[in-house]
Amino acid sequence: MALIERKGQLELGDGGDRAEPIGVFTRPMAETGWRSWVTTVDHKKIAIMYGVSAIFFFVVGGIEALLIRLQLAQPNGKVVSAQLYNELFTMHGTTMIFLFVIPIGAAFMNYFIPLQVGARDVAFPRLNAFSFWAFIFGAIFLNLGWFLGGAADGGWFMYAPNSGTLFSPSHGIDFWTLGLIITGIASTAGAVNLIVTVLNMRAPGMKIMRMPVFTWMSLVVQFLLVFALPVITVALFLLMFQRNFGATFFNPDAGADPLLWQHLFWLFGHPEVYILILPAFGIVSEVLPVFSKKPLFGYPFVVFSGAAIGFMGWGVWAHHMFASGLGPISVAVFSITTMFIAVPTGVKIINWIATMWGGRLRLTTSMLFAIGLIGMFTIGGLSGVTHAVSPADLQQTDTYYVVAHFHYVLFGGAIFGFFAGFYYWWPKVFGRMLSERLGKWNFWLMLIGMNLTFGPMHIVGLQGQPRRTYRYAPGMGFDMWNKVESVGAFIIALGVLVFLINAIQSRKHKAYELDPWDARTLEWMTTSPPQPHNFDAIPTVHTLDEFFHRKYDEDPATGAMIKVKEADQVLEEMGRDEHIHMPSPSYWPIAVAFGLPILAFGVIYSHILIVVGALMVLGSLYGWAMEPATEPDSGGHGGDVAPSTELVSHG
Amino acid sequence: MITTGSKLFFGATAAAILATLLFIFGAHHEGVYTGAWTLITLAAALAFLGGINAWFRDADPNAAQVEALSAADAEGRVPAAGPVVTPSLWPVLGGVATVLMLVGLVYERRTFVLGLLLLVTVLLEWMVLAWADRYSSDPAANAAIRSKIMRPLEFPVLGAIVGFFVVLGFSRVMLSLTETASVVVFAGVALVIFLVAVALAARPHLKQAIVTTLLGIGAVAVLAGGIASATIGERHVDVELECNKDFGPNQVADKSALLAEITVNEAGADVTDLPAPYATPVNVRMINKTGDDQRFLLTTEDGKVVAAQSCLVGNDQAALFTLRFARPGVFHYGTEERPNLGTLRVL
Amino acid sequence: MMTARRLKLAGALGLGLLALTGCSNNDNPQDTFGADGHYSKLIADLNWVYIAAIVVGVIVGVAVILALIKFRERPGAPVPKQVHGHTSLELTWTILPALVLAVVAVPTIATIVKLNEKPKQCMTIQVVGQQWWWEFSYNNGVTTANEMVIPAGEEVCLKITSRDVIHSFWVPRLNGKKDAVPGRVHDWYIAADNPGDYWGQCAEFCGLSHANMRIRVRALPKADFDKWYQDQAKPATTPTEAAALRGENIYSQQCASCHVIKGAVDAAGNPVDFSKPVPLVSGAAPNLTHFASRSVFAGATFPLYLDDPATPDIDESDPYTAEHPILNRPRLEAWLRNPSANVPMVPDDERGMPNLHLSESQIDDLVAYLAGLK
Repeated sequence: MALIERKGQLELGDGGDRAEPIGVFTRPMAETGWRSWVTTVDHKKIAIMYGVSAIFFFVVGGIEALLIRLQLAQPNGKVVSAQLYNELFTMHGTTMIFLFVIPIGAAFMNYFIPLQVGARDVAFPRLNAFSFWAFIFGAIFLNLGWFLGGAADGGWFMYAPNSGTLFSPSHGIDFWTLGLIITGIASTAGAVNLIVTVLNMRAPGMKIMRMPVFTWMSLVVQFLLVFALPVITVALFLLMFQRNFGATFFNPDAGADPLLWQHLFWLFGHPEVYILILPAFGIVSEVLPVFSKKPLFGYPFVVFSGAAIGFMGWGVWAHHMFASGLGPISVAVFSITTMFIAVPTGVKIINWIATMWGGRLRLTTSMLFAIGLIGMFTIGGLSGVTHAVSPADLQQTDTYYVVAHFHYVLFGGAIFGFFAGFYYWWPKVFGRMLSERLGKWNFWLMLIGMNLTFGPMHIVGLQGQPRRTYRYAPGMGFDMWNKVESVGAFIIALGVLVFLINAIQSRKHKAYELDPWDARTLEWMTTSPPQPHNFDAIPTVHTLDEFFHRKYDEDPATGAMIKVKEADQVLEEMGRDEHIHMPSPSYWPIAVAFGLPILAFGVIYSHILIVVGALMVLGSLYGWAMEPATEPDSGGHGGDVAPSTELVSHG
Repeated sequence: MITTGSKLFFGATAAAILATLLFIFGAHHEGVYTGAWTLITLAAALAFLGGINAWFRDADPNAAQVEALSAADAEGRVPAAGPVVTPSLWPVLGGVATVLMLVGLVYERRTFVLGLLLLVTVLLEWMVLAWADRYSSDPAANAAIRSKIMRPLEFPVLGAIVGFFVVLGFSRVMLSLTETASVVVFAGVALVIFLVAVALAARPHLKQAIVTTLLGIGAVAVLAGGIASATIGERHVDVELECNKDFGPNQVADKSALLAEITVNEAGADVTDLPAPYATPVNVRMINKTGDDQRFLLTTEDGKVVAAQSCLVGNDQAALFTLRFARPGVFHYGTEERPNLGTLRVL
Repeated sequence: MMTARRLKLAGALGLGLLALTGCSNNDNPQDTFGADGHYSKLIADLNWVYIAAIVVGVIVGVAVILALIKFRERPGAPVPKQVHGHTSLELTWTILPALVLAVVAVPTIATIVKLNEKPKQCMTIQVVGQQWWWEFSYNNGVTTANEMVIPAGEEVCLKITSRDVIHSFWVPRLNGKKDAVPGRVHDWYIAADNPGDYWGQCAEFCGLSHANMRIRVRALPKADFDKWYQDQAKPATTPTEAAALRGENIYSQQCASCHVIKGAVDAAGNPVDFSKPVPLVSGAAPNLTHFASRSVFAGATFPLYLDDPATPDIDESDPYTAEHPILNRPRLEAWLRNPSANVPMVPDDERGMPNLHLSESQIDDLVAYLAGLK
């Protein structure tokens, strides 16, 4: 009884004849059309999807804000009910932080980190796709409360015991909790991905202190995410178990201390605010040198201060809890640590001004936003230092003074930074410029609008207007300023509208110039938009600001820098690599991601769905592991990991 | 024919019969009939298994080949080898799983569920193994295809199981140590992990065996510590169940949640008038400095003892009362001998 | 261009002015710069940090504007000198701010210590927050709601806790805020230098009517306070007038399961039994024993007495002015008719006062009774 040798249906990785893979594991091949977006693992496409989603949620959060301001434009307002108001401010905060600032940061980081370090993609492209799909499903899930019985209404900080089912019986908080767990999974996976990319996949010669500041700040952000997200995930699980499975983690009658939630939340929450601002700091550190025609002043100090902020950010969380009943010793300690975290931030601001000083300033829209960040973030940072004085904070906390502070640093800081990034990098991503004329309108409307909206909040806060209140009484001295704030909010909305018009209209603008800004860093050393494989040849890096130094050289006679090459010449001289291996598309990431909201639905409505969702996740993960390494006709080489080039020296 | 496996079973049968005889003649107590019958049943079962094994020869894959060899045809040609069968533990584990399920039906649900999970695993693995064995005639290729299919399932599951036991072990250790010791151990373990990580990072070309050994040592240490701690038990062992002890494990929260701390010495209590809110839990800690053991208690104005009582508290020790009053009222607190050392007025 | 620069300059200056105007009007009822007592004065003594912050902000703003003016791109200008940094300068502007902050830290810590020091002599008041009103209890067993009466010129020790979720007790002119956390009791202090009214609000989001959970502190001269203290300790007097008697009856049947009125009797003349737990999540409802002696009700959201009952829109009436002589009958009746229509509450979940579906004559009788509880 002899056996006949059969050819296997699964590839064994030993080369030789390849049979067709089993149908379900074939990798998709679409390169255009909607299918290519659903199965893409290209970091650039993923980044664009992040960006579009983020801007959509920016508008959603903005509408929530406008409703809030309509209600508060007069005392004893009746525009919305108390319940709806509580849902609005909860969702406004949650949407803006988790569904706008974090993903827009992810958009920039996903797009530009590989380009800035000279790689062809991130370390784990399918994981990257999974991060996006998990994010968008989590974001939608979070907002389902609006349609299914009421959105979350406990504040974005969701203090216990008010977050329990006794005090908030609708499912809104459940959607909030599970939605944030899902988006947390997305961000954690993304963080691991980007850390490995930055540490392992830099171009030859790109030592860690030759990386652009944007990449550096992003690296710090990813480390913060990796350590902070587990903390809030734990808190969210505790809350989810309390609400859905009868646990008593935050129930004082069962012996729990409600402050447990506050500590867990703020242990995450404070590093979170540095996660929100550092990418914008990175963008500004790119934009200012380009439009000042000078390198960043004190690159090592700026980089180290970013890392310092990352570390010190872990030691200040209880400054959100000065009035919660911590003893005087804790309060004193956190007061001091909070004061000192102002130092590295101050260093950055001064170094940025020093970058501008002595330069040749071109006031493009991008530069205006960057300078606007310097001004507005300084104001927000200084009000933050006044918070550090904890006796004063006992008056300021939970009033509009705090609202003023964080909107100055988040709107005037993070959002202005991202808008600087939009105007700077739009030609790189889309091959077309945004209109400078509309851009200036965008900038001035947003600048004036934000100052009108958030400036007076300092005053009404110190005059005693508490936050998170759906109405205020007449005769308190709040009336006039609240009207001004509401008007300002609509001016901001106008500014955002101008940006959207600018973005849509940019399709009609002329096609790209290769190097419109005369920029300094690696992402400009390729076509706009970049080819799927980013660079025809991975450049070898000899210095910080590599692109600038390829175009400019020191004039031996005068010592000044003169342009010796144009951008297209630099690109031509880079040549072309022989073997370019790219990761293949895949549909398993979206499949895995899709199982997560099903699982979450199960927690809320029917435990059977938990099993269904879990099976979908696990089954899809199995398919992910089983699918062949590359497209069937890509030549049989390579793996799912975009290969790094030769060993990079870790300097 | 009597194969190796059959020999095992028949040998075991003989041993069982011998054990039965010894038991009957050696034991002089009540359970002798039960014990004897158990052993006789065991012997019968083993004999049955041995018989089946000998008759069907399933346990000895090479028997087919031996037979084939001995049945060479007239020309002396030997038939081609039969299918290769990879030996494995799955059949045995399948038996273990079945036994666990049966025992669990009688004894406890957890055992049943464990057996069921094990049975599902066995079925899956055995099925895939059997399929892989028929894939080709090359054992190496079969092993590779089996790995490719099963590793994405095995590694995460094994990882989760190992992770679970490490976490469980570590949590038992933390629960059994005193407060200071747990801080030391926690920090110490973190430091050790950090140092090992630094060492590994500094010398990236370490042999895989060394890394595996280090991790193995770590896991074993945690598991051993966990088992030891679980045996020792958690700190604050309950001596008397219906009384209040001092702070539970969460001293920081309890300390910050105190309404008052009352020290009682020979002269009396240092706080004699204590207002308290109703309809919310409040914590009152009473410290014994009288020199003798005391039992603290709370009484109503009429002298009836309120449900909360303290254990016998030694000198320099304390008891923590967590109280929740439904309505305003007046209570007295003190010791068993002097119950009215102070007044607790619930406002 | 020039316009851009001028606008930025204007913006920076405007902001500075804006900030300063905050200091000007000290009359607002919840002004944190009010500093009407020892503790809020301790905090206000640190107000120079705001000035310091503004000064630093102006310096930065001026530096930015100067850079914009001096280094604006001029056509044909060469590539500027590629300065990479200046280590000693950078070290300076790292260390200098740290030193400035160290200076700020010293008075900060001193103030923290002083704010947490228990005064040698103080009257203790137990402050309990629940959804959505404040309860104040005194050592002699007096329990009131919404309005805390204290002696002027003396320190008051507060013991703050909560019966359900986290609230925060805040009377800005008298001290900073302190959270009311269920399961914990926090020590805090207030003192008012002079007799007068001081207003506050709950300052930690606590659900639906967080915005309506207000506080009125009345500081009385010592003699007046002592009299108030003694009067409050007396039980409520039995009314003589018929409507008020009927009101007391209705109260004993419909309201006494939640609200305590010390000394109230039911229709048979027996004292009302207050021993059963209150059927609310928080376990407590406002004590109404001397209801009519207060100036506010319903979470201090509405005044109990008005200047002119014909005020066109009682929703717009301002509860924060001095004593008025006329009972706010319309609002009181509206409250009894349907409490949740006046202040959003969730009585179906046992959080807030339920609608008892009282008839109009029952409401009239109850108002007559309540108005007599002086």
